[in-house]
Parts: sequence; C-alpha cells; structure tokens
Amino acid sequence: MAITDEELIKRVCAGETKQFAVLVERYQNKAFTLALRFLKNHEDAEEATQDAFVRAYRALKNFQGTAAFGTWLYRIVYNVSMTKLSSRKDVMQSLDQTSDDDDEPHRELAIEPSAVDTSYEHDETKAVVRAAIQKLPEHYRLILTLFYLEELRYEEICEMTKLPMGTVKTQLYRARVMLQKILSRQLSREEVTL
Amino acid sequence: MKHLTFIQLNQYVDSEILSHQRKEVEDHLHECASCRTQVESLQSLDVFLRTEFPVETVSPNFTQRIMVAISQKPLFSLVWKPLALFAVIFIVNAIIIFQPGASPEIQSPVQPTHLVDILKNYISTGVHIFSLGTSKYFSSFKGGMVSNVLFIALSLGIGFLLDRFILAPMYKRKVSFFPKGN
Repeated sequence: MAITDEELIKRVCAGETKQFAVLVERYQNKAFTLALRFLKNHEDAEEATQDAFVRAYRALKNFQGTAAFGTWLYRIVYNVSMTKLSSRKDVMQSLDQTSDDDDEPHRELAIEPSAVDTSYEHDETKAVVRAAIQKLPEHYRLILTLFYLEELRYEEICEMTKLPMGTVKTQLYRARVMLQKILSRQLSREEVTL
Repeated sequence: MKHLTFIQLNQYVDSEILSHQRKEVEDHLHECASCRTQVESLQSLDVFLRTEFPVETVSPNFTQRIMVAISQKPLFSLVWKPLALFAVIFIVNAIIIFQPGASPEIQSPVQPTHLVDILKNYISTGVHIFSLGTSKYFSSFKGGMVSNVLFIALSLGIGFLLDRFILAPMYKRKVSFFPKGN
C-alpha cells in the first residue's frame, strides 16, 4: 500500500530527505502541466516547477495540513508561474475580464448536444484535447486545468486565483463551451482527413 | 417556463449545488427536456474531460535535479551572509578608527582630501587593522574590555538586523539565488 502524503511529509520533516523524492514523483507531472498552461514554454515551465518544489521543501515544516499537499503545492506553482509570467512582461489578460452574467438563462451559450458524443474515442484524443486547450484564452486554459487536472473545488480555485465565486463559475462554463466548440471542429476535421 | 441558468447547470453537474437547491433543479429537470439535454451534454463533456485531460510529462532526471537542489544550501547563505557580516564589521571598524582620538597606531597613513584619497585611505586602513591583528587593535581601544565587548555586540547586532530585515527578504524573493542543481 502506498504511503500517504502526510506520512511522507512527517518523514521528510524528521530528516528523511530522500522521501521527498516520492512526493516529487507523485506530483511532478500535474504541477508541471499547471505551469505549462501558464508559461506555454517547456523550459520555463520546468524551471517554475522545480522552483516550486524547492520552495515547498523549504517550507514543508510550516505546512499545516489544513489543505491537501497537492493543493498547497499547486498554489506555490501558481504563484511561481505568475511571478515568472509577470517578469516576462507578457501581455496578460485579466483573469477577471468576463462579465458575471450568472443569472442569464442558458440559451445563448448552450452546449451543442450533438458534438459531445462518442466520436472522441480514438488513439489521438489526448493530442486533440491538448491542441484544443492551447487555443483557449489563458484564463480559460487555467481554470479548466485547475478544475479537471488538479481536481480543485470551486472554493479552492477562488482562493488560489483570488477571483470571486461568480467569476469562477461563469468562466468555467464559458471555457467548457469554447473547448467543446474547438473540439467538435477539430474532431470533425480529423474524421474527414483520416 | 424559466430555464436553468449557466450557473445552476454548472453547479448541478459539478456537484457544487446546495442541497436545498438540488431538489429545485431536479424538479425542473424532470419537467424540462431542453434543460435535461443541456445537463446531459455537460455531463458527457465533463466525463470526457476528466478521463482525457492531458497531463504533460517532465523531462528525465527531473526528480534527481530537485533532490540535488534541495540538498545544497542556498548559495545566498553560503556566500552573502558571511560577506555581509564581514562588511558590517569592517564599516564599523572604519567609523571608529576615523573618530578623533583613536589610537595613533591605527590612524590612517594618508590624510584624505579627494574622493580617491578617501577610498584609498579606507582600504589601506582596513588592511592596516588586519595586519595589526585584532587583539592589538582591541587593546588600543579606549575603555578596555567593556568597550571591546560592546563593539563586538554592536557589530553582530547590526549584522543580524541587516540579515533579518534586508538580506533575508531579498533571499526569499530572489529564487535565482538558489543553485539550479543541473
């Protein structure tokens, strides 16, 4: 049976530094994916992930355990990536730019039911999804990653991004709609070419 | 019939809806085919994304690089802290030496007139102090043992404050001070 994160953290804090490698192995790919969604560059994302792990290690004794280790680590990755992005002086789109039309009925942005079917089931699905995600605006890319990959709850996303709850909900819905549209276009195009 | 909103649809699919609202939404879904279709579409997309959301892979030896990085003390504490302490003690020394009435043995050999002379004076005095040796320097200081203890305490105190309030925050901000470990 795999050792829990809590147990590993206890061991690392007690001086078994090598146990930190298990935590790194466990979270490195997801942490890296989050950094990559921000930075869009393999090298920068890996550097940010490494910085985040080193910071996490140095702050491990202060880890309270109120949140899961993964959530805590992703927050560090998020902050390191944000700092890196700002220092790059990229033109950053505001995460808070969409209007909060929370109470609008669903008609105008309705998901097309026909596009969400089993046609996704082929070997290159992940590549298609990856390409579709890359086409999304930064804030949509990020919110989908936090929700689907890091499996954060709405509240945790709010806490991490400092966005209001209404904005998180709206952006998540809009991101899904946009992703679904891109996916359906890409997949129908692939079906023609294959 | 008023349809469900974006937020209600999302919350329902993501199981983030409050329990008292869930009943309301489910009652509506029971009667409204359009909203039901929307929920089914969202659920289908949700299941698909949960299984197919791509995870990127780090390059080989990533874990080893991190383990090397954490096993090394930050370059900052190895180099900058001793340097900072040395600099503080040196400056305090120099200030005391330049005071009128300091022992002639450690008085500056050059009387400064221009900026270059002042710098020369400063460096040569520093070298002079260390060539004399600390014991001789301290013994020449007026006030004896108490003054010497106060002097050392003052130097360490300034060094500590410098480290605590200026250097340590810098160290926290500047990640680039960390060795890269690769």
